[in-house]
Amino acid sequence: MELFIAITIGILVAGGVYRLLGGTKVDAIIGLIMLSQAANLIILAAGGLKHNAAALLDGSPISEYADPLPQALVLTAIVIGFGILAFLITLLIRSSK
Amino acid sequence: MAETFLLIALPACVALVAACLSGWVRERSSIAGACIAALYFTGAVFLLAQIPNGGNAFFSVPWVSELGVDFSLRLTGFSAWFGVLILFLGGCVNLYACTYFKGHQRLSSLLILLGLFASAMLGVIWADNLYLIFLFWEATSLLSFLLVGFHNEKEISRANAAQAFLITMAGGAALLVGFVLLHLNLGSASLAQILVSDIADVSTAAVVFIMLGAMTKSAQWPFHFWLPNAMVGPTPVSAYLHSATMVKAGVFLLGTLAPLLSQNPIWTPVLAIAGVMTVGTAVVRGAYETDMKAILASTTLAALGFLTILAGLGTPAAMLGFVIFLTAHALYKAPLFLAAGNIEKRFGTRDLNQLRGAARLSPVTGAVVVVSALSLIGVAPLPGFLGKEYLLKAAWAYSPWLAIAVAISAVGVLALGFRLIIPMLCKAEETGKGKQIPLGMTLATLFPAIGALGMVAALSFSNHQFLGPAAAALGADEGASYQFWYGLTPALGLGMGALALSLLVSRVILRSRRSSPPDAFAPFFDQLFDNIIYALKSVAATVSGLLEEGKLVSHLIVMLIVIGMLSFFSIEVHDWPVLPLSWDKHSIAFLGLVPLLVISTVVASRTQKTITILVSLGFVGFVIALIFLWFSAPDLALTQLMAETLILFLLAGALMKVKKKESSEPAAFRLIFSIFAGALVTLLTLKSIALEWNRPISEFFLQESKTQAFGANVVNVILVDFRALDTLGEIIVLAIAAMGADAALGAARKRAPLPEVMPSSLLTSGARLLAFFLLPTILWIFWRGHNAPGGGFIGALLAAGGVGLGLLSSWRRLTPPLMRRYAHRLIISGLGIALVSALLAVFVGVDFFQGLWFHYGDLHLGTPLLFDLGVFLTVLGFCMNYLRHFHIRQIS
Repeated sequence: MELFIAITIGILVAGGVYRLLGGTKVDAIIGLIMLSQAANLIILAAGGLKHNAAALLDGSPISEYADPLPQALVLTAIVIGFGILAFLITLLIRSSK
Repeated sequence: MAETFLLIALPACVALVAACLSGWVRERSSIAGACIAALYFTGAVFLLAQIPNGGNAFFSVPWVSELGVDFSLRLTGFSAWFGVLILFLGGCVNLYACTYFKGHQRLSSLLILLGLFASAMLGVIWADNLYLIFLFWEATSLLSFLLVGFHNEKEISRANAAQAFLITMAGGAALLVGFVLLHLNLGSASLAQILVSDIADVSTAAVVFIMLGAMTKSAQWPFHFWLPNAMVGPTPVSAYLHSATMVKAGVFLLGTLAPLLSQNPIWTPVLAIAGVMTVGTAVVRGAYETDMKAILASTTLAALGFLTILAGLGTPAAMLGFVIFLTAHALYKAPLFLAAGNIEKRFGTRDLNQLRGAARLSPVTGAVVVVSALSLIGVAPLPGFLGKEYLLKAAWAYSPWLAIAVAISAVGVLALGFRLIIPMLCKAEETGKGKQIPLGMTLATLFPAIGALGMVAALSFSNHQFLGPAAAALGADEGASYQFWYGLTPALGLGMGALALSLLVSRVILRSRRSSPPDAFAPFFDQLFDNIIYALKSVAATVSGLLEEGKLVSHLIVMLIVIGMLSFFSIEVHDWPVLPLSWDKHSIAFLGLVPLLVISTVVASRTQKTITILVSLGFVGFVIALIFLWFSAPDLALTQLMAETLILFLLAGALMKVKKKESSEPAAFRLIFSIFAGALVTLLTLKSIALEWNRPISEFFLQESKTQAFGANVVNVILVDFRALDTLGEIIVLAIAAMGADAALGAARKRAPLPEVMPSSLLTSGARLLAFFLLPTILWIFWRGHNAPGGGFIGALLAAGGVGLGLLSSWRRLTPPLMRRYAHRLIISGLGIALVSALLAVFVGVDFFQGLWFHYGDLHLGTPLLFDLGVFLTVLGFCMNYLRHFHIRQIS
């Protein structure tokens, strides 16, 4: 499954770069949305993938939980990414005036 | 004694008050000027009383002591006396400025700049730490830039101010290098310790850089050309910059360091030659001028040249001359400049050819001009005479040839002095129809002249009270004093000879009617400077032209190629670990998800239709949320879903308005490039998964989450407790980005960006029903965050989604102004609450951001929850501020 997630990320990056190179402003924004999603997945994947082991403490041994740190990083990355995109979109509106 | 140093803040405080009372200052200019002058004079008198006690106060506050930077101030007899001059002339100049710019729109800004400038100047002369001197030094450069360019509506003001700024700033950089070298050489950054060090330890490089810094600041040849150009500043500014401040900072530093550095073999020749050259060029330039201010600027250059020569000699006799020359120059140059302003006000011109008999028509100003100019010429018994005689004496003692060179160059300066007064003393011709000179300006002009006269009238008192201690502090012999008569000496003879010769020369200058200097000579350095600046600009333009074509795609390609190369080398394909490529139940889940993702990604990357873009992007985001959920990250899945919704909401609003352009890039090229990128990232991901991670931090979080932060949801605990400072930074970034929305789209608009629509009744009523359930859900999501998926971020995004729903169904109450108001309140209160939650711990006495907890059975309430509330409010406010631009106007 490591191979699968890596390929998933690769496809997202390829799609994002393809869109980014379109040259228009709308292309740039959509490309960035896809690239930031790929980046979030990379961080999560690099921290190790576990199924059904959310870091919600219930008394199990510590080694059984998924790594919470990359998750915290990705959570802030999603929100900041949202902030950047919102700003880009307002710039898009502004520049089309 | 340390209270004396509070005087450094006096002018800055005046500036602060002037800033607060700008309207009052404008309307009651005269009263304001009198008050400021009174304050400055009080400070000067207080400081004057400190000098005979030996000065030598010391005050130090540690700052960055590891780097040798301390806020340390030192008062010596000389720097205290210099401070008196700065405050005394500062008072006169402020009084003058208030009358000169009476009722002017920007009078208070001028007063603010003058006040800050005086403080910075006091800082330069009182600082003991080299780096502190540098900071104040740069402050004077910056403030003099603003002062010289005060008439910023004029092109010439801006250009000349920028020239002065560039030269003095470049010199400041050289000075910093010199200071650092000196610090490294001697192991101390304290001036007091440096002055008693051994010259053998000081490298010549340090000496060269310090000389460069001081010579640019004091406009010494070949950096002299900026000073006459800086005449474009208002008259009071020129008076202050030329008499006691700015240009004197350079010679002050040279004089202070002279006792030590003059032992270096290059010090004396370089400074002596630069000084003589400066005097020479100043005289040649001044001889062709007829503008009173321009002639005065030339004499300032000449005086700085003489002071540089004295500092270059560095002998006790030279330091004796240095103090009296500097004092005399300050006390005649300030009134001369101020008088030039008076004359301009009275007669409407500064051209000496049109000012014949001006002194007779305007007796008070005329008397000041005559007395001050005679002091400049060096007629006994005026301070200028003392300055000239002690200069020649010190030069003669060093080398008779130098004394003769100085005397010859002095002839020109003295001739310029005669050039000033002879036309004015002529019989009055045409009177001109100017205005009366206001009382404040007359008084301000009179004060320094009276000061100069008083100083020589009570010479023995002055010697004892301040001149002697000042000279002794600078390195002259103990018990130094000044006398008018010390017998027939070669210096006296040279002085007399120069005086006689200068009368002759002045007649020549007056006869010749040429109005402009010979082209080949004077503007040489000006043009050199312009050429250098022009060359820099064209090089910059060429380089940036090479790097960018002004097209987004070419920028992106350069960046992507560089990033790609770097990542390709960093993954080290030759050292590939064995991948645990296992086939398990997750693979089956992926087999279902991947094709969906591929299809939606391909569609999203190719389509041009708005609705297709939105649907496919939404689908991609949804699949990623599923992946998050599958791999034990429920918080991420929730955040991803909510953020994706809001992004699509904003994007829909934007795409509906923006005219779409077809991409012009060839598709094959894009395809190849993107396949490479995708393959590279795939490899990168595989490698990063395969590497073994050491995760001590995560283990700590997992272990301590329950015991220290009382939360079972470790992700949330990390965000609001363990790494709360990071989160605080993040919400501050969001608050700034929210301001970006205001900046980009205007603060308070009622524009409705989206086309008019008629919302379906199903949506309207459905949304109301949904909102009814949404509110408790948001509260619940927020509350459970510490122990289960949820928390401030997710709750806020959910709430923002609710607002977006309200916009879609056109709730009347959700108007853009209302949303703007709420958004700002939410952001401010959110940041405030977050900060309070962090600071509460400090008030209790534990570390910043340490959680404070209140336990009631299983209920744990603590400051991290408060912080989470702050996060919630800030994020919601941020979203509101963006959403308000996507208001849909309802058809009524």
